[in-house]
Amino acid sequence: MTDEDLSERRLLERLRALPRERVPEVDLWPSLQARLNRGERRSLWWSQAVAAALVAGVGLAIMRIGGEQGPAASAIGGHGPVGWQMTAAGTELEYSGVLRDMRGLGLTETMRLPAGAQADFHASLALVDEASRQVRAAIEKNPDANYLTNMLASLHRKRLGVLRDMALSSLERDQAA
Amino acid sequence: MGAVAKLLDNRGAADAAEPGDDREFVSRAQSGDQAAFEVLYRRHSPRVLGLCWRLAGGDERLAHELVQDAFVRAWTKLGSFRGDAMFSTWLHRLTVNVALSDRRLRLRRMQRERPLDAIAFEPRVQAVAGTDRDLEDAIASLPERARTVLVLHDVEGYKHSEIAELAGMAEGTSKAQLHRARKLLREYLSP
Repeated sequence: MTDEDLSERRLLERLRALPRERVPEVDLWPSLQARLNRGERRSLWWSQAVAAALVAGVGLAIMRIGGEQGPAASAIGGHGPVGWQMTAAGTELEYSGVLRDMRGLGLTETMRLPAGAQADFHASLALVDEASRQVRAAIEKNPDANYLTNMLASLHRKRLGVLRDMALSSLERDQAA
Repeated sequence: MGAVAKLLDNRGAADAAEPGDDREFVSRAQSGDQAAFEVLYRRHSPRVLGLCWRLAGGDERLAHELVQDAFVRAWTKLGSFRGDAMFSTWLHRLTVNVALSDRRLRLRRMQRERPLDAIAFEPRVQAVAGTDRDLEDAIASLPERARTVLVLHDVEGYKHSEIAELAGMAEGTSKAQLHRARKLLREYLSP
């Protein structure tokens, strides 16, 4: 048995021996009871859960399309740097699927944001969209150029990044409210 | 004497502490008896808090909120509990679901997660080596996903397949996160 095995075994013994119970510093029942009597605002809860799922989903989509994680992540997490291998059509399909899912949730460009921030986000989206339009036109003329596909994937990644930031801002705004 | 005290008194304090006696209180709570639900809360909240506290990275306030969320959810879902499993098992799993779907934790996960090769592991508190405090601090300092998997697998005894289902990740990812968490913990705890 190696030192590393021993060290891991000791660690596991310590983890399993940790106390599983914790006594609250304050009695939580009165506020819990108040919530039970008030009833749950299910619709709000669901909208928050959907928004959170959206944020996580967009993050995953960025990884899928762009492959920003390094080789270590590829080996461990299963989402490798696939962007460079994809065809332009594959990249577009992946991206449009993510957008469709987001629109289905009603949480894209209409997310609740301060007016100034909304304008900034939309300006960023417009820039990316114009660049994407130009790259698509270039791909039509030269469909075999890998560098153009990479560029398009990169632009999709940037657009999803903006949308993710919008979703995070929206969540933070909800949280502060 | 309050309603809960009466219930406990009628059954005897020792009996009331036995999880096996949950069925009667569950049945009453399913009929809308809040006092019976309070008994269940008082029996099981320390265990639920212990789980939430670790999943929340030692954030006491957030853990308290998660405990309340879990019991509110349990109250609303109690009708679907058929008694196939123990109430404590059902509640534990429901709590994990509540904690993992909590938007505050998910938000933190999104903001704090970095590619694996860019992780900077910075323990927040220097504690005395070899103590539980030292280990708890190390667990709390782990990246969110790695901590979730470690707590559920190594502390709570969940299988990778169960964690994968609860956390919405591939089983392989759960194993990888556990490997990563243990490695980071060993590094932190090594002298």
